[in-house]
Amino acid sequence: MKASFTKELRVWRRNPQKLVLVILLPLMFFVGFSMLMGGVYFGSGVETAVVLNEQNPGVYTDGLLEILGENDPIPPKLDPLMMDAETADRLFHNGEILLVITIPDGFEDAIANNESVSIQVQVANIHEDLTKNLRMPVIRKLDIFYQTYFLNDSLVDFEMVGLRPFTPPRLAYMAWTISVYSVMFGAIFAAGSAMTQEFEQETMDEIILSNQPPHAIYIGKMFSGVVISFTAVPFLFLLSYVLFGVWPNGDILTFLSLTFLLALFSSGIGLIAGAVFRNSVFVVPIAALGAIFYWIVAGGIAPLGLLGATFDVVNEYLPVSNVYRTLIRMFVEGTYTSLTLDLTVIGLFAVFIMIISPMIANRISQLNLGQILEDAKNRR
Amino acid sequence: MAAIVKKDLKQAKRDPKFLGPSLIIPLVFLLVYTIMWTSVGGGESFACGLVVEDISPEANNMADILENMVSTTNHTWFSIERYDLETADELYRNGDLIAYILIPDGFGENISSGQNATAVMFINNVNDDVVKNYVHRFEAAVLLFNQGAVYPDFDQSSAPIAMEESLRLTATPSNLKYMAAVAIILSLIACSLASQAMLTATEFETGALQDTLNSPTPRLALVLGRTIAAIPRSLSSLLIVAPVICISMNVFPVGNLLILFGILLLTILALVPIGELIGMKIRNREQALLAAVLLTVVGFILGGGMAPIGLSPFSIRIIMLILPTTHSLALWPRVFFLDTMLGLTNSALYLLGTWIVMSILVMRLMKKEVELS
Repeated sequence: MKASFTKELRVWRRNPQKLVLVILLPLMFFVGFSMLMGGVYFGSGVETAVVLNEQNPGVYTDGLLEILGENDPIPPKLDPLMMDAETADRLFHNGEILLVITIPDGFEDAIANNESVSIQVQVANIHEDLTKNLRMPVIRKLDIFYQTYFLNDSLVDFEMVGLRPFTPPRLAYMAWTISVYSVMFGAIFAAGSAMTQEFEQETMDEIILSNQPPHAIYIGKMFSGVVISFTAVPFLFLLSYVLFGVWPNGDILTFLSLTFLLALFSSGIGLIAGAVFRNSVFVVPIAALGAIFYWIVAGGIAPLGLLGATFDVVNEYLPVSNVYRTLIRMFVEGTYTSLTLDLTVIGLFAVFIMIISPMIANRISQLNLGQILEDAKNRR
Repeated sequence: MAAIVKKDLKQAKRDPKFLGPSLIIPLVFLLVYTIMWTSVGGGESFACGLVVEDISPEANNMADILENMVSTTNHTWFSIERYDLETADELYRNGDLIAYILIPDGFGENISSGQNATAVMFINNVNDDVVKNYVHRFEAAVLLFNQGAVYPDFDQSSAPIAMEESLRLTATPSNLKYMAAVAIILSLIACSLASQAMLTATEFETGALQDTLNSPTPRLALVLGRTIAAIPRSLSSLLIVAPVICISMNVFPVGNLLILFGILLLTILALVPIGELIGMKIRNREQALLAAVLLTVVGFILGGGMAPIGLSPFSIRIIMLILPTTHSLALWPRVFFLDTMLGLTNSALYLLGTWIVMSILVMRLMKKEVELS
């Protein structure tokens, strides 16, 4: 086992490019999301064309314009750009601007005389989520305007009570959950790659026929996957701290114990995937996307509580979700309410896969899948 | 040149493994999204508890607004469950309920006596995105109430300021339909990049590329031949992916099919030389594939595959616009959901320019390789 483990690590050391890619994928994933969503949370805000048709702006018009441009604790912030109707229309139809707010002529008079008036809002409804993110800040600004200028009409207001005093930034939250993704991806890919390289270099038979027990060889490959899977984690935490100034809550021992078992479980899956596909062409996307799949359905992109009870219950029975559940709670709240249960579940799965995956991988490795397919074709 | 095209196509036919990433990547992405969005009623309805302690008509109006206000795809904004205060608070504190709204006793009385009434939202502030999504929805309900726009008509005509909205598309595509449409071009992106990167890296591994480069064929013909061969090869992934996605997700293109084909063609032209560069630089099949997958995933996310880049700050958008995938992903859904030719020129020219620049780079690399060998 030790020989197989050392050999695999040596292979990785000789291929630093491959290791760099294992580190880069989750990092790029995080940077990609940060850049994409950064505009909602940081920066100057969403560019919004404001067309002022009002000929005699007064206190209400100026007030609305001021509120539209004000910084807001609830993202996204709007970045109003004053322009004429023609330019706004052209930019909107060319897709260069996604939101246009038009303040009509007579706006000031209508409000001063207690008459009803409409502001026009044009939204590029590319898809529902974007439409929501464009419409909602306008609604919020209008509500703030109501609460400021129409005290007699704003009989209802609201207040928000958070469960905890600090709200973590969305993108830091994602970096923490991507660290779990990177462990899964690294383990599946490293173990899968350890198998496929034997098939691609036609060294599988030599290994199987050596004096070492096959089980030990496969376990060695699995553990090399476990070690490789942790390479991206420090970079992710560090980058998230540099960008957002927040460390995750919790202690490193809990993180390591849960992710070690997760990595072991994922390595087992990688081992089987490598034996089945025997080609890196399939193992790379399977590792990257299998891990993304679990990252999303286990609450990596958004907490499962948003999705309602049905989804939560189904997800409860997936082993990896348990790791995410405890880690997300630990990262965000610093609490460990489900740690014992989740550690037991992933522990059982990890031990089970550690026993069974070398057996399955060994069995599949002995099959000549190409020949079987050929025979089946001939029989037909 | 014809011989190069023939050779590359024959190679693709003999070893169709290049289709792997282009089938797996979009279909897994789509599967994940389908699971996510269908389990939550279209992705717009957020689970939320409601505790109404007041029995006045005003409290009922507020509750009706919260329960019935809808998004542009006609999904309610909240998927509301009513609870008593004790149960809601227990679920909330256990993490089983991410938020609940309390309409307190005396809510209606305050309004009828001309005083302010306050509704309270208790929220598990896991991150600021969750807070944003809940607060925005709640605030919309409060505004509707103050505008006098109550359920079922939500009529704002007597409000001091009403909001008159106009949407660019006649029907807003749901998140799932949008994702289905972009999954088609994602498949093409994956196929163009990965197949060319793998082909070149394999030829390096076998030494076939050096032989080809040292042959008397002009380098321009070589690059053009390989690019032409990449067009049917890349499009072949769509023969499977496009019908599967369109039929299973019930999403069909609205825009002109010829323009859509043109966008696919430009995407292939821009990405194939990049795949070639990856293969030439990495020279190892597995690593070239990993790099191509990495570039595909990052290019897809950064390029606006999951959310259009319009929300990003200008300075970051400039960086995103360097990626050719950003332009492909800007053009594709635009024409897929709308029969338009507006706003296509810049991105189309950028893709064409990328093809030319990258092809020149590939030719220079080939020249360097010949000199070295």
